Amino acid sequence: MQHEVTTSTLPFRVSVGEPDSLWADASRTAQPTTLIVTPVQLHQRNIETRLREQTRPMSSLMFRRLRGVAEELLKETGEPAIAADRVDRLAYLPDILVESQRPVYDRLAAVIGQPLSQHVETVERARGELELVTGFHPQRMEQVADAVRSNAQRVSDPATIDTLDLLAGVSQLHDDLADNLTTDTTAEQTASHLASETAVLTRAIRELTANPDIWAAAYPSIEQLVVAGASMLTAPLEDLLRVVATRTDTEVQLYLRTASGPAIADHLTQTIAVDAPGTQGVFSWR
Amino acid sequence: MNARNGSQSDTEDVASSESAVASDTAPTPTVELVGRTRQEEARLAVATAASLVEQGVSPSDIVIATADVDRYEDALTRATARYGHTLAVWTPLQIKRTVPYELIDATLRLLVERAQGAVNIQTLTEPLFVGWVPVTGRSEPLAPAIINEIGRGHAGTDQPIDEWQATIAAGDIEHGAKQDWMAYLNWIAAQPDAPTSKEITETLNPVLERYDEACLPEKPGQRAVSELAATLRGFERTTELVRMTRQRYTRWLATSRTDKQWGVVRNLFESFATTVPGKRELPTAAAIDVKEANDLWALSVPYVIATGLVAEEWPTTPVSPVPSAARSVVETTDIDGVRPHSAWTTARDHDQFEVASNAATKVFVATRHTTAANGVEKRPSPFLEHVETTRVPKAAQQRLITEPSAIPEPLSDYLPMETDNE
Repeated sequence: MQHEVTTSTLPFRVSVGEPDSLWADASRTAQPTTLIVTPVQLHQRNIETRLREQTRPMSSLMFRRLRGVAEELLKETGEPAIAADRVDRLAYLPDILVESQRPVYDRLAAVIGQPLSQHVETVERARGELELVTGFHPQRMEQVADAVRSNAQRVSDPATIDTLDLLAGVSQLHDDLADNLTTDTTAEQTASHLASETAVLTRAIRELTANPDIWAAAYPSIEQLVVAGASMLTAPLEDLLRVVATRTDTEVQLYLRTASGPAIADHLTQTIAVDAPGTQGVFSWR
Repeated sequence: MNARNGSQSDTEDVASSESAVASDTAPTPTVELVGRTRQEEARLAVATAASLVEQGVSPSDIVIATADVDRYEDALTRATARYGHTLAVWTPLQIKRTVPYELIDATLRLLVERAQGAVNIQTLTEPLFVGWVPVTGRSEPLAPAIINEIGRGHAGTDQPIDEWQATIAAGDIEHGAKQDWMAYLNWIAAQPDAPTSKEITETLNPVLERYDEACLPEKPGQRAVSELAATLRGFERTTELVRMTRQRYTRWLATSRTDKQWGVVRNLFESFATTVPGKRELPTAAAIDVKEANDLWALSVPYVIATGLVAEEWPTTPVSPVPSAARSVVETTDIDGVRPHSAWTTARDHDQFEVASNAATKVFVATRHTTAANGVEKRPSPFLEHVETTRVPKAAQQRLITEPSAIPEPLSDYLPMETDNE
């Protein structure tokens, strides 16, 4: 059976295992009442297949990718935004890394490889990983840096220096990407281009924190938000779940997977919400 | 706690599959088959499926699951031919990230926009960026600088193709670049506004053929081998998607479900890419699905055969540009909201293994091999350590490979008939 992990400090429900409540709750409604976010599109199809096998109606369900939710929230603010994809980013990286002549990129090259323009895919991968882990949230990046420093045997530990230079380099790169995309946005474009899906999500979290009414405006009939299928709970996704759970009338249920789930659930019970969720910044240390 | 718990909750539903009949608190049993080489392992997997079908199990109640379809597709396909079955290989969804897919998608978006009137400069330049090559003349795509020159100069402009032709013709552009641009615009202008189904392939196939000739063999040194392999696969799948799109469009036109529109063509193309990664929609409905294990999430299938339960393959060793010291610090420190990336640990691979074994309601068959192509020994996946498995004896495995009509023990215990008699 399912293993339910709910603590008093956590504003949303967490379970490890299959999204059982969906099998029981899916019903026929005029308007969708449950918003389901899955990381893979095929997972939506699987949920539908499963419900069809049980001949359950499913008009109460509405499926979105995380990016779709972020975009729909921003649409309600009157300032829509869409995410650049990997192809866009790879196209911008060589110019930014080479032409900006920032010392932080020289140090990044020392970690990743010279010349950086030949290693853009690795750079992008590091940017993407650290973005999902920290959300480029200033406080989180500082805490990661502190933890890495205090773990090292000595101050000049090469792995520590590499980590801090990497964090400094990719968070700066993320910021420069945003600037470049803004510069290239033409007046005719109705939505602004942000550096990544996470950049769109973090902006949506900031807007939602400032004005929780945009949630109900985007999802007037939604009573429950269900997130399922992910092997990782990213920092920005956790922030979104916390904001929706505490600032709106929608209940939040997170389903974790059987192998990765217990550690994530455990971590959630040991930690608290971050201040100023959705903030993105640049880490610097020297 | 482990895979077995999840499968109990699976049995709570009153699924139409016969497996639900067997629902009780007993965990789904795991049977292990061990081949010497990957090819022999693939034969064992397919022979198991063939023998289940022989015993009356519907192919749709069997799924072959693996962590990496690419690694097994060839071996499984060869084994299947041997046993006279058909596989439907569900490729991972990365097709959308391959250049050939993007090329056709960008071309279709362009044609959709043109059919509506004005074409935005961004839509106009996209096919060029992803490898559009003229049918005659140039043998390579336009240089990004030439595309960018026009793109930046006309940022934000929306106008019909004939006006684009006039703009470029009158523009102060280097002669060769102008010729290339005019060839491109003339090609667009020559395409039908409301395509018949034949015209879909007449428009798109030459685009793919030219891309193949001009781009595919050229740059192996520039890209990682895996990326080139992905592009080659992407090319094959895209060609197939175009064919499937045409077939469905033909049917829709014939039944008056739609009128002739590029918009419909594009939607079909896109929805095939997302929902039909394999060959499911082809007339071979009796095919056995081969899926990436992750794609079984939330599903319930009587017989799941998982291939590739070998150390270093399932799970693979995590690699990351982030130093391992930093990764382990993140893993062991409680920082608000900060957890290891799924590429940093084997948790994601473990989730996929659990998904495959949880999906099985009758029996979970785990296969592996013991020897790499270079003769090096391959150890079993650590995920098998936590599962109680029954091995099929060697002689019985050999008989299964030679003659799959006889199903070996203990697999024979999990046939539909046996359960019904209980």
